[in-house]
Amino acid sequence: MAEELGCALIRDELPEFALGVLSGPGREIVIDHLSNCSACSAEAEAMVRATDLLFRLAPEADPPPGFEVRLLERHEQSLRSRAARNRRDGRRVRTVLAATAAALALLAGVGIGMLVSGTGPSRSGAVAMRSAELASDGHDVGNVVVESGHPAWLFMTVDYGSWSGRVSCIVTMRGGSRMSVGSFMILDGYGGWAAPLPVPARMVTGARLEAASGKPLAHASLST
Amino acid sequence: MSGGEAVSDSRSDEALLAAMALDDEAAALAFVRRYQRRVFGMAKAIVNNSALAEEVAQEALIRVWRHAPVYDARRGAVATWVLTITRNLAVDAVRLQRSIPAEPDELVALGLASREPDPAVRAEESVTTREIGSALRELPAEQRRALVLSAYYGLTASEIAVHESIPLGTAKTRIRAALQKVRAAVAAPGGLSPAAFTGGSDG
Ligand SMILES: [Zn+2]
Repeated sequence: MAEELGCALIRDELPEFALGVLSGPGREIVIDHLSNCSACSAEAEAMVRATDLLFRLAPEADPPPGFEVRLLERHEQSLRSRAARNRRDGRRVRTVLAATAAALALLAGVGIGMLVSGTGPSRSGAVAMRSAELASDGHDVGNVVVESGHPAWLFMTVDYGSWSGRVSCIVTMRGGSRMSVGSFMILDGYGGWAAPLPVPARMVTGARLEAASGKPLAHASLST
Repeated sequence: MSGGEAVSDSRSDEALLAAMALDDEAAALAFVRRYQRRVFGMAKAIVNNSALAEEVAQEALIRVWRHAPVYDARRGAVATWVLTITRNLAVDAVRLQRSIPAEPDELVALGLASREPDPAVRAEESVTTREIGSALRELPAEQRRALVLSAYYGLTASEIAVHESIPLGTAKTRIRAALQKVRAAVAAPGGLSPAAFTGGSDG
């Protein structure tokens, strides 16, 4: 009964889902349902194929001369600025930190050098960082760094498809308890965020992101 | 530059995307050549300004390139994915001065008129395109309007409801009915008769 009611609500949204106009949270709810309901999936499939047909009628026009060259240049630029971020060695962590810390330093009144170990004087010689990949269905969708200190900080970068919406960050602690430490926006798949932690860094064993609907999006396990 | 070189790479859209995900520049170039007319055309139809349309079209293609690894065929054809990204960027670009066209249908006519004379590889698609065009023309005007506003201008049912001063349920019903008819017209054996096509300016 509840199942059928759920299906009715979802089906109401399927045309807009197929046309790609559903907003982040609504879209996530539909996708979530489709992964568990073959009847609604079949209906969605039909709507999606109809939309495919419709888009064949989209107007065409020749772009201005030089379009292709400018596009390739633009891609080169975006590659350069992203290259460091995507490296999986220690420098990646540092780059992530430096980028986030630049904005953060203004808020927190601390120097970037203090946050990025090895590039400046570290507090009492022992700023410990732990980092982990943020994973969703086995895919790497970002990075989480927890840095010790008073207070400890959590840094997060997200590259999650083309998803948009507000997400909450929940940390798990030793003993299994959880705590929400804030929320931020992901726009077109991208988001970066940092927040002070109300607990010592060593207490944190993991972090997860949830959509506004409460649906878990991604998680990271921090080894201790 | 016309789309003449666009068919030089015979790989499927999906194969090109997969190669782009591995940073294959040749694949990316082939993909851009295949799609630039559609992406730019979509952007221009929405923002109605050539410079801004180029900005939108470039950003859309960059995002396609960047997100190539996460393309999901279950959510639609590659073309739908690419054009949805383009549409959303275009709509965002003009959101502040956004005016919904008095005659959204014009975009359908523009779409039909702007197709290049089809090379052999697109012959089959062109038949289907005519069928879709016919199906759209035969829709009740209010259904066609709702569908075009949603598909090409990115409006949700509730935005359409406000814009058209109709209940939300009515807006949803119009979109659904229109989408189902488009599908039925093409799914029917042989589709609609080409003779039923009364297209305007595409000769
Ligand atoms: Zn269902």
